[in-house]
Amino acid sequence: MKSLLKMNLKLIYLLLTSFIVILIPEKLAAQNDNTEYEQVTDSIFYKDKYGLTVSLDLSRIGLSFLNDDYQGLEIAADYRFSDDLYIAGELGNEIATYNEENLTNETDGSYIKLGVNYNIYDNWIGMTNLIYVGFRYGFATYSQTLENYTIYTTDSYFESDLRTDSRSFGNLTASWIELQAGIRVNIIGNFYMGAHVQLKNLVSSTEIPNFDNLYIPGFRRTYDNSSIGAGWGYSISYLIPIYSKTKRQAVDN
Amino acid sequence: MKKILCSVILMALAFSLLASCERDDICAAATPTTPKLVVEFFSADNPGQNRNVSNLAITEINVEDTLRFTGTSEISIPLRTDAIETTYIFNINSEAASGGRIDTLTFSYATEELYVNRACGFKVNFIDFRVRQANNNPLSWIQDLVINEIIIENESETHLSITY
Repeated sequence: MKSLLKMNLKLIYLLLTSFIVILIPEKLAAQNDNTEYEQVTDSIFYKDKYGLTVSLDLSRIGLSFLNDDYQGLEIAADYRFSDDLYIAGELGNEIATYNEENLTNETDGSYIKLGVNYNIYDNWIGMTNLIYVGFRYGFATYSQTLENYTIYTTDSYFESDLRTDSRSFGNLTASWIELQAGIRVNIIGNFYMGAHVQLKNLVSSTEIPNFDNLYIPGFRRTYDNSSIGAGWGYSISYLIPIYSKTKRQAVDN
Repeated sequence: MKKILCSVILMALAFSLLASCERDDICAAATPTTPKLVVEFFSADNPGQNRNVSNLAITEINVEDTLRFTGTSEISIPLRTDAIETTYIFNINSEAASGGRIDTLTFSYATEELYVNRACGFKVNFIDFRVRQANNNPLSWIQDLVINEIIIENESETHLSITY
């Protein structure tokens, strides 16, 4: 009964204020603020960090140590543009060797990726974890060196014909579009750990006469019969806070 | 909106991982690679009729191994990819007490390297294919040589016809 009365009073008050707001909004601005203040009891305020996050790809560093045929480094950064939207990019360098039975090829080059991440995770108050989907445009400049190859025959009558006259193909470029999905979790302070997967589609690549682009920095390996590529990464990140937005969130009574 | 976006992307990623699991680092047997020379044998007595060879032993002059064919009118033999000539000794009826009859054929050509794919590497096509029969050979058995293809780029055609 008591709450019903309170509810009624609230409604009446709301009705009255709305009349006033419509009629003379400017003069009663101060009073309007008071109304907002009234609701403080039903909300909490918190600071939401906005800033630049700088990440280091750990998977590429790990792979560089474990795999003799690979050396790579990637630094990523993203800037929180709005509540859920982050402007993101990666910069990297890779040297990858394809060393299989019939040919050995080394790719050496750098890449840049630019795009956005969209956070699909609704954080608890004050937390800044991310489950995101992202889009990138990637561009790489690189060179390939075909170090050796065999003339493939199905017959073993003659000894294998191994050619070791290495051939270099420079000034190669490639571009692709990429979808990312990932997670980034606040570990301690402004440090985060992240993991993500990538799906990409090659848009363009320099044609090499009588050879092919076997590996494109940033895109990773190519496939003979499709323009699709895949990748992944683990990273450690540091958030450099630039400013905070005070956010208010309603709390159920 | 968020849920739809998320599920679409997760599905796309799952699909891509499946697609990328397909191995293409092993050269598939069906891939056309360096072609062998396809030789067909014809009868001198019945022109246009195939004639099966019996105990045909073919040995390249620098190789110790011998390729042996019998009961067939069509054979395929490899050509050297690291040279512009391959010389084979064709010894027919090689199992006979007399040792059979012998002809020495030299195949000459230019090689053309072609990239196949990452698994198979490169192949060679043979262009401007010619054949030369050693002269002054009392044991000769080949009566006529006809080049059907001057470019050897697959094994589905007969490149050389031998009449005996």
